[in-house]
Order: sequence, then C-alpha cells, then structure tokens
Amino acid sequence: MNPIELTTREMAAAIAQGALDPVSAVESAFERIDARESQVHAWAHLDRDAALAEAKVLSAERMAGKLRGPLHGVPVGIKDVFHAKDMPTLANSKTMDGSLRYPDSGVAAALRKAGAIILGKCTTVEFAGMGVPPASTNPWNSAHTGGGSSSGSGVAVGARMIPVAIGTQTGGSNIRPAAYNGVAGLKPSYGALSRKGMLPVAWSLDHPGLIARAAEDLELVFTALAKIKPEPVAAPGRWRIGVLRGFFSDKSSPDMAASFEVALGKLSASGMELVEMPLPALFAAHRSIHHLIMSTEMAVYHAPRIAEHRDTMTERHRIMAEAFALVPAGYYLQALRAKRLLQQAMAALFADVHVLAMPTTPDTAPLGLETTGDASFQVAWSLTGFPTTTIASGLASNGLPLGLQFAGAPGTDLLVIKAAMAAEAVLGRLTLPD
Amino acid sequence: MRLKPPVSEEHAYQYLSLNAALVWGLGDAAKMDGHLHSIAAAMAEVSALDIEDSVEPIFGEDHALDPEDAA
Repeated sequence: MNPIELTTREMAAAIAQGALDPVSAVESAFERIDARESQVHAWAHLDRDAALAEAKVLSAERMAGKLRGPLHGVPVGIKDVFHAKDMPTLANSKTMDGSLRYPDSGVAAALRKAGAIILGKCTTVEFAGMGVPPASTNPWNSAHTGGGSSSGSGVAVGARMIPVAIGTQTGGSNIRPAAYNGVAGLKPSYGALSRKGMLPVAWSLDHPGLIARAAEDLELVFTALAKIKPEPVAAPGRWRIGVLRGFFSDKSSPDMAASFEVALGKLSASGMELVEMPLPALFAAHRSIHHLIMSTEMAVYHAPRIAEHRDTMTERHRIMAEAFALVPAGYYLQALRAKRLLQQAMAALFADVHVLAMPTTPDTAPLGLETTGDASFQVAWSLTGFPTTTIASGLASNGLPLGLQFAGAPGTDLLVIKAAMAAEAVLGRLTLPD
Repeated sequence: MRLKPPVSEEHAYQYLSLNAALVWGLGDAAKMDGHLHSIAAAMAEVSALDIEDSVEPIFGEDHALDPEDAA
C-alpha cells in the first residue's frame, strides 16, 4: 500500500487499524513533495522535522491504543492565511513579518485535536484576494494555473502530496482550485468552520473550506472540524436534484457544457431525478452585490497595511484596495440588504429538491499564472453562505479536469457532501497525474 | 453619493474617478481605472434594485462569540 494513493478516509482507517504508521504516512508525503514540489510549488512553508516528530508521538499513541481523533496521523496542509503556532503566516505578501508566531487558528487547533499532522502552509494568492498569484502550477499541466486563491491547497492534493488540505473562499477560492486539480472540495455553510486566526478578505463572506482526494473525505473532515458537530444524515432513497442552467449554461465553454450534460445523463440513468430549476430574478445582480460587499470590507481591513507598508505591498494589491475604499457606505449597506433578499430567494429553490447541480467552473484552468481563473460560478454561494461541493466530472479536450458542483440549503452541509459522494460513485474519480 | 433615483454606470464612474484623484492622487487614480469601472457597474446595478423598507442589512457572524472559538 502506497500511502499517497489513499483517500483521507482510507488513510485514517489504515492508521487506526495499525496497517499504516503515521511516520510512514508523513515520510511518503515528503517523498512525494520532494519529487513534485520543484515543478508545482504548492508550499509556502514546510517543517519536515516537526511533522516527523509529531508523527512519532502519534505513532506511539496509536500503539498504546490511543487515537486522538478521526484524523489521527493523517498529514495535511493549511492555506497560508491560517495561523499555526509553530509556523509563519505570510499570505504571499512582503508586508507580513515572517518572524512572528501566532496562536493556532481555530482550524489548525481543530485539525490537531482530530489527530492530523500539519506539514506546512500551502501557497495563496496575496492575502487570499485578487493580488499577486503564487508560482503554483497545475499538476495536470504545468503551463496552467492550479487555481486560487487556495492555490497550494488544491495543487498539493491534486499532486497527491497530501490527501486533504484547508483552503478559504470569499468568491470562488476553494471550490475552483479543487475543480482545476481534479479533486473534491467543500465550501461549507457560512460560519460552520472557525474563522478565528484566519486572515480575512471580507468578514461577512469568508469561509474556510476543504479540498480532498474524494468526496467521502469531505464528510470525515468536515465532521471533525465543524464548530457544532453535525448530526449524521442518511442519503435520500431517491435523490431529487435541481438543475441550474441559464447563467451557468451561458458562461460554460463547449467542453464544460458537454461534460455537464454527460454527467447529468449518468446521474439520471443511475436513478436520480433531475428537475430543471429557474433562477430567481435577483440572481442577475448577485455579482454586483458581492462585489460591493467584498470590496468595502477588504478595503477596510487593508487600510492600515496600505498606510504602514506602502513600499512593500505589491502595487497590484494596493491599487485594488485603494479603489475598493471608494465604495460609498450607502452602497455597501444596500448590498447587504440585497444579500438578505437573495438569500431568501435562493433558499426557496430547495423547497422541492435536495440539492442543486451546476458546472463548477466555466472552463478548465486557464493557461499561464497571471490569473487563477474565473470565480463566477461560486460567487452566489459565497455571497449567500450556502454550502457547496465539487467533484471531478471528467477531462476536457485539453486534458484538464472539469467539475460538477452541488449547492444546498443553509446548514445542509452533510447532505451536499452526500450528494457529491453519490455522484462520485456514479461518475468515478479521476486518476491523478504522476 | 445618492442611491435613488438610480445612478447610471457613467455617473457612478465619474463620482469614483473624482474621488480617486482627490483621495489617492492622479497617478494612482489612473492605475485603478479598471477597478473603478467594475465598481461603477456594480453600483449602478445595486442602485436599480427595489428593496422594501422593511429589509434590514445582513452582517456576518461574530465568531468571537462562538463558544468553541471563545476558549
């Protein structure tokens, strides 16, 4: 058994059963990192010695019959906007002081409590926003971006370095890199995972998220990390899935559109009931609503950094934050009122279906590293705070992964994960690149 | 800046451009032109929304109040 081939759930089970030692799991991860990191650049910080030391402690505990939690001995990565007590937080910005250490973020603490071993920090776009991207490349084709802003989290999982990583999403930053790397992702309900100790982009839109090898991993890790432990849910006897087209179909590339239809056909053939769902009228304004909220909150957060670190902040990020500071207060508040209406209108879509299905992205990962891709298919869900998952739906004609996205009503995270698991069982998982 | 009657994208852009020059200077204002256009478009769209008086803004959670995080 090669640990790098295992899903999170398989690895955790193998460790719990004694079939795999945490030290072997961590050593395998670093062997894979050594082999691929120089090309894909998934990591902003790694601490091999600390990870191996922790693995030895966890190994001894397991041999003594103690398991800390459901992720005992599993190596993971966290996006470099989450504080971890023994690592720097740089957020891909020279304005951050790499010598500083902070207490564990809520997510890092929850991972450790569950027994996970944090190998290091995964790369991010500057401050997880729309600033300078990292050098991370797509493991399927290094000429393409690995996505972002949770770039390293997606790439590290897609490159089979680790079975699961933590990202964040304010627009489309967690689900999109998951899809671009051919793996599974979860953007939970707003507030479901801790934002404590996580550098914000926009407080009312920020979500910690998961990127993992398989949909079943999302259930295991989300349950382990959730602030309020969710009650287990059973999959429905027959899935009733609302299909969203309109905006999503109009923006999809031919490859994405074809992949979506093939996936829907397979799901229907498997017995799932598909229902065409119209989008509410207010949906047309969702990106504008999101833009004004995100811009205002981001500008306020970065105001002191612009003042104090003008020379070290990239011009790209500074100019953007300065422009965002010009949004009038009344427009911010009007956008927050519109958000409430949109939440109500979107929640009504779930009255008669379990989840909604749509393409995850308009197309595959773009060529080059200047942009990390198009977030437009995630923005509505980041704005409303509704949970979403993505799984791979196949490969495009250029050999890059495409994704299928599910959205659920607020608080139905496990149901949306179950939908991803059911769909993944029908569609299969991609064989990740060597 | 007024919310109602709805502002046009052009009107919003002029407002933002003038403020950008005033607040950040002409040099930076020119560099942020693309952002100003995108904000102006968003302002025009949000300005055109009809929202009943009873609708209040919805803010984010205060995670400092979460029991687990407060520890």
